[in-house]
Amino acid sequence: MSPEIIFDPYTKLYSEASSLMRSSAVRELMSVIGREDVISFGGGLPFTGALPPEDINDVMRSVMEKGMAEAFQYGETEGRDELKRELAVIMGQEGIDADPEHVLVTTGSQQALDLLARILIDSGDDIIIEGPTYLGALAAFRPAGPHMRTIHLDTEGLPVADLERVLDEWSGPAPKFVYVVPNFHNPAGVTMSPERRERLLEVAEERDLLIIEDNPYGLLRFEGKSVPPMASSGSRHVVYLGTLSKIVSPGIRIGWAYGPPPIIDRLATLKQGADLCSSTLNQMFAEEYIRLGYWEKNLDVLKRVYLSRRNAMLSALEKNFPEGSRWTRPEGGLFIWVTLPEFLDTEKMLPLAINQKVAYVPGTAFYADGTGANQMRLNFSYADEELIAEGIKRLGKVIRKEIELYHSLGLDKG
Amino acid sequence: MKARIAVLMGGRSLERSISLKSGKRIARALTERGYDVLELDVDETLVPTLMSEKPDLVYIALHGKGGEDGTIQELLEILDIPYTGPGLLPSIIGFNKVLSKELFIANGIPTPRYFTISSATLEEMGASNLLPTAWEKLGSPLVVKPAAQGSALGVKIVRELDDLGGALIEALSYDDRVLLEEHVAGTEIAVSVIGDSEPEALPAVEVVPESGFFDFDARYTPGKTEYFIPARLDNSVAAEASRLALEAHKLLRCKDLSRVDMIVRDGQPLVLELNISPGMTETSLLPLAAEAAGMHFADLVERLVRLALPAD
Repeated sequence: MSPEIIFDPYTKLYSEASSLMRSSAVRELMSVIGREDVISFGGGLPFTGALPPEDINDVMRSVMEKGMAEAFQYGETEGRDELKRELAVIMGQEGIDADPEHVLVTTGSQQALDLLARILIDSGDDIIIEGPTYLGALAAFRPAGPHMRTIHLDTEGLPVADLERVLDEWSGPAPKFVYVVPNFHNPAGVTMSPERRERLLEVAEERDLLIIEDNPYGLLRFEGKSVPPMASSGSRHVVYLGTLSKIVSPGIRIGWAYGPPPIIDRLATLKQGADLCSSTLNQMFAEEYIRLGYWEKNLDVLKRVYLSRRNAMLSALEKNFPEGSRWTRPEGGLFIWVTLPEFLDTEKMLPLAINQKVAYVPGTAFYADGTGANQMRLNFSYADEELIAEGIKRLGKVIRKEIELYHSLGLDKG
Repeated sequence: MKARIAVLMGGRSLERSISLKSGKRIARALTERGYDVLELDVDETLVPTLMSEKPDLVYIALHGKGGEDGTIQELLEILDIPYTGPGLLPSIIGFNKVLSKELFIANGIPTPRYFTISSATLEEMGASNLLPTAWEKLGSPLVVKPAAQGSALGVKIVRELDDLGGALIEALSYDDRVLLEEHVAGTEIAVSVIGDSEPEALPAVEVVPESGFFDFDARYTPGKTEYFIPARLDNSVAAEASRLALEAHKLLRCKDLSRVDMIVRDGQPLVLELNISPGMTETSLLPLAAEAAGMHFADLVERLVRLALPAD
């Protein structure tokens, strides 16, 4: 008998796509951040503590009165008409004149990303992403096996001129789409300027390029003037993704895709095989919650809370982070993106930070091209002002200590 | 009436999630065997909870700092609660690779050559100037590891002198002292030792990581490492490995349990380290070795409990 031990007898059955997943030391480290004594800027958790229980009870009661049997039944794959109408109202707040018929309700906008990857990407196809970009998008696209071309962001979001340059030099089949998060980018915190949005729409028109516009944070603007989403142009080159995760609750898993009917139809066909329909109960909760007007009340609370927390973080960064660091100043959303002196490596520094009871997400996680080692994402929506001040103070100390170490090894020349 | 056992797991160590896996698996096995089990994720309420719950025994399923370095063992000594594992002294020594290697060397137990360097000597004494000398003396490639850290976190094989600084930075993020150790190319094995007055060595487990390096990913991603039990060694080499494991176990005054990690070069096992709280997950080495010796997981856990419980 061979002495070899086989832990997982199914190894031979797994697809290539699933073999791309692995245990990571960073994930292991992050398991500590759930602990109360660690101040975590690592998650992307919205502040659900703001939801008033009496409002929720009210909505639930209304759902049950309207139709309990219905709430516990399957629903249409495309989503409930009543909800789609409410989602169109929400899109209307940002200037999109949406036809509810062209909305597909999804189980979080994450599902929309997964479905889009599957209807658009064949292994080896090219797509264009921002650098940095949303982690969940990388996770959704990766199993489809695309080549991901990265365009690096600046303070005004995606530099469309860079994109055009890349497209000018393009050889081979055209990219399947460009994926952008134009408002209060996760993780970069930046917002794409109106001029660039217009130009990107023109480029899409000129070159027949599909834009995936992911907008989870647009309504969380607590400062400055809002910029209309590209979808408000009515362009047939935009697939727009929305979600209730950041304005109502991530736990109800309600998101949506809105765009050209042929694409929406194809997504719906695929969704049928994925989960038949998104939770009817949650859809009914969402439509009542929106219809009764609670969402706007909650949104006002969130914006007030987040503004104050962002301010706390900005002033703590100013006070505690060493020279040579810079960070974004988001006018909404949940994240600040920090760039440290070139020579630092935030992934290597993470255990040191966690030992000092503070956590963040290292920058490399948000890139597909291996860059971002000296960057980190800080979430300001979850910890309160006092904890933010203390946590950033701790992090500042960790960074200074790390710089000293680089200096003593002669590695601080960048 | 079977004993009341508190299983300590989790905590704030960097190996928290591995410890939770070990701990839950142990708790399930003990519950199956009819013990009255209390699962405790270690936090600031630990001592008051232990004082009020008064367990007959604490099962330490913690890994890493706090749980494996003598800290928790000291508390349990004060509380006068018996606990599993090899005891206080071996915990303090075993978790510190510098102390244990020096003891091995002083007592003729072969171990790879090494130097140690601390962040203080780098920052205050200009120790970085020594790196090329250390590199030359140990030969390349060499292994950089934190002096006190488990699960191979922060461990790197360095093949170019230029990469040494980066590896030091990473290792020093886990502990303020690091080892530069000669890299030994050979067969990696782990020998677990169990027993009280007459400890016995279990069959050696051989690990063959796909990447050639038994790092964190290789340890905890199923399929990334092949395991062989017993290790594919000549009988004489296997016997020498067992003898060295028992010697290291006794040298550090271990009782009940330890796992000695070694690497075999040209038929000669070299001791890398002694673990006092070996992993107990589905893919961990001690449970594998026990299984090969005819001991199912629950048998193993119960045996460790019986060893630790005071005789009636």
